[in-house]
Amino acid sequence: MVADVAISVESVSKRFKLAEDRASSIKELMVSRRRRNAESGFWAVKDVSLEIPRGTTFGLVGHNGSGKSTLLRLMAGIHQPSSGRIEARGRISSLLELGSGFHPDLTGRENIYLNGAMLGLNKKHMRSIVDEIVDFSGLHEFIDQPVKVYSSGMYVRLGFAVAVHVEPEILLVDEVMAVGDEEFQRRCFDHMYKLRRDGATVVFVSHSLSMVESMCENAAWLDHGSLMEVGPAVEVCQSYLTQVNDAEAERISAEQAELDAGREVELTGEHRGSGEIRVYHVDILDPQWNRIPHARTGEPLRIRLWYDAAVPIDNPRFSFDLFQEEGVHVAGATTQGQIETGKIEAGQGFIDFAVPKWPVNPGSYFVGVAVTDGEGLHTFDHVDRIIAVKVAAGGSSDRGLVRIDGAFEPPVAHEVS
Amino acid sequence: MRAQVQTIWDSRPLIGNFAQRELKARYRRSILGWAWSMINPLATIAIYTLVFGVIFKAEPPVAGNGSTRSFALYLFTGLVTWNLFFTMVMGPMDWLAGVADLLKKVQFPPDAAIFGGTLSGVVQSLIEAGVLLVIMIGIGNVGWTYLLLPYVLATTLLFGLGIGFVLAIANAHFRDIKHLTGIALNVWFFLTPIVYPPSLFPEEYAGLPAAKLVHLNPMFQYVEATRDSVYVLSWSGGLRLLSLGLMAAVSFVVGWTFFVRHSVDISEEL
Repeated sequence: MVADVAISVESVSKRFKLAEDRASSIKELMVSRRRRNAESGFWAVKDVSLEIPRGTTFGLVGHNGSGKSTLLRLMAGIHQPSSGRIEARGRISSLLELGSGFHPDLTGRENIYLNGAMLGLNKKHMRSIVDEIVDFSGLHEFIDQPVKVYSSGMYVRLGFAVAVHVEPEILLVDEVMAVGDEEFQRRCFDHMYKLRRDGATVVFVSHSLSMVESMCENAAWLDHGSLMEVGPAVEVCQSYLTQVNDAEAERISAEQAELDAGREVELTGEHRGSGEIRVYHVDILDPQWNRIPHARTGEPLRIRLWYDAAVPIDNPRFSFDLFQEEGVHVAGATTQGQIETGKIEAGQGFIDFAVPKWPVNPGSYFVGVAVTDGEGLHTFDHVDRIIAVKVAAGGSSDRGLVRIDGAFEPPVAHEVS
Repeated sequence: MRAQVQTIWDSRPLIGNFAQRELKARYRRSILGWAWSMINPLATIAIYTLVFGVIFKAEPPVAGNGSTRSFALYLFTGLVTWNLFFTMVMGPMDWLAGVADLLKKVQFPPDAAIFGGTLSGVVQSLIEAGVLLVIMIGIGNVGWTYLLLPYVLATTLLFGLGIGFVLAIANAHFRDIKHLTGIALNVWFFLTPIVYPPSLFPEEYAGLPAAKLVHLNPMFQYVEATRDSVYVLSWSGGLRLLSLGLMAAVSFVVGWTFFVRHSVDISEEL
């Protein structure tokens, strides 16, 4: 092993036994001993080789069940590889799950000592850092309570506080920091940077690609247990993202094909209002008025609200709103102040909203609609979630919810005297 | 073997922590607390004394001071040894299962949990032995053979622990083991002259020389050695004492090595 490698993974595979592989009765144990061979079971990690240089931060990305966490556990020594070799040089501290390594009946303080002991630190050493740990976790008034009464946030705070204060040479972190609040997360990152400055190696699993890109020098992308790519974090994240987007686009078009086969399947939202006029469907169209499987950032489209009026209605007001999957209100538009809708006869029809350049960034969104009278006092119809809209990436990569319409200009040298 | 000794030596803080945890958890939330560690054996002695001493009228041998003839004390002496053995055989299954969650999340030698539990068992045993000695001294039944008691108890511990190590692994794979062991130990307990004197053993039973066969029962040897040490106050015999040490060494080394070999991926089975 090269001197500056902290963890080397050599063609490591890990097989987990499945329930059906285990003998469940004495008879089975006697009879089928030979039949259960090495081929059965679930291969969580398949032939992965990589090296993590000392003093760097390394990210593991991949979809759920790709073997990231298993690989991390193999590095931690919790699992032994079924084949291949893993070598980690240095004292390992790990934060693998919520409350990892805590005993629910012991108090926070007792658990600090327990965790220290598991890392081979003696009582004297632990006594010298226990106050620091309590300070960092911010759990002063709860530290002598059993940890089973802790909230999930408190678990993570204590876990992280212990993991980083035992002066690890290698720190393994699974996707756990997301639980803490903003301020605590920032402190965690500050501390991880500090550890790295002190020469520690950090390996972490995350679903947040931006986090991996900004924190890691290198990253590995796992898919169904196989190593797809390993290298500089930015490149690995890009390839992973491209694959995810392609798969997503494929899935969406498949979904849309199903949708197109039988119309009006997506009317799931609950209608409120008096109901003289209802919006019964919303379509996303391209400029040629073809229905499209998903919106694309930066491209033109139309949003078409199909309505059905039971009686003639004078100058109703139409509006729609766009919500992010988590509920964030992204944008909305109303006819009020834009156009007079005039008198709408009984029967069906549509009203279009034309977008020259779709500004919303890739993700999953919902559209809600409303129809009120001209003064906005009486609601005819209101649906919170009438259709789901997927937005796919188009062209350059963007950050945040919306694309800012603008462009960078070449740098200009300018000394301020 | 060297490596496993080194590993466990390095895990001293962890072993201490597990032991502490076991002790703290034992009588947590009970009003009498540690008094239970005395009440339990005393209650057992009272029950057995009533059943075997009073109802069945078992006659204990005369104690070393030449006057005392107490069934309760005779029984207590044997129970101290048996209880220690029992804890060492049954305990490891629970101690290993007790750290199942930890083992899935943190890497540490699993035998550290067993040794931690062992320490807590030692504490219980020391309390019982201490009370026994205090009573014996109180009634004037004192002898230099007391010095052999630590050796007898230590070998009892190692003998039981070796078995416990193997059972802990077996139980991780098949939970039936714990129940089976409970029954087996119950049978073993009554086949060993603890609640009755060995003189009650029939000379011959179903064509077998029962009184001779009982000498092949290792626990009979451990229990007898304890009684020689603190009740009868006589030299137990070099051969017996040597064999106690040999059985303990073989059981412990084999059991511990077996455990270390087979506990590598044990967290997946727990």
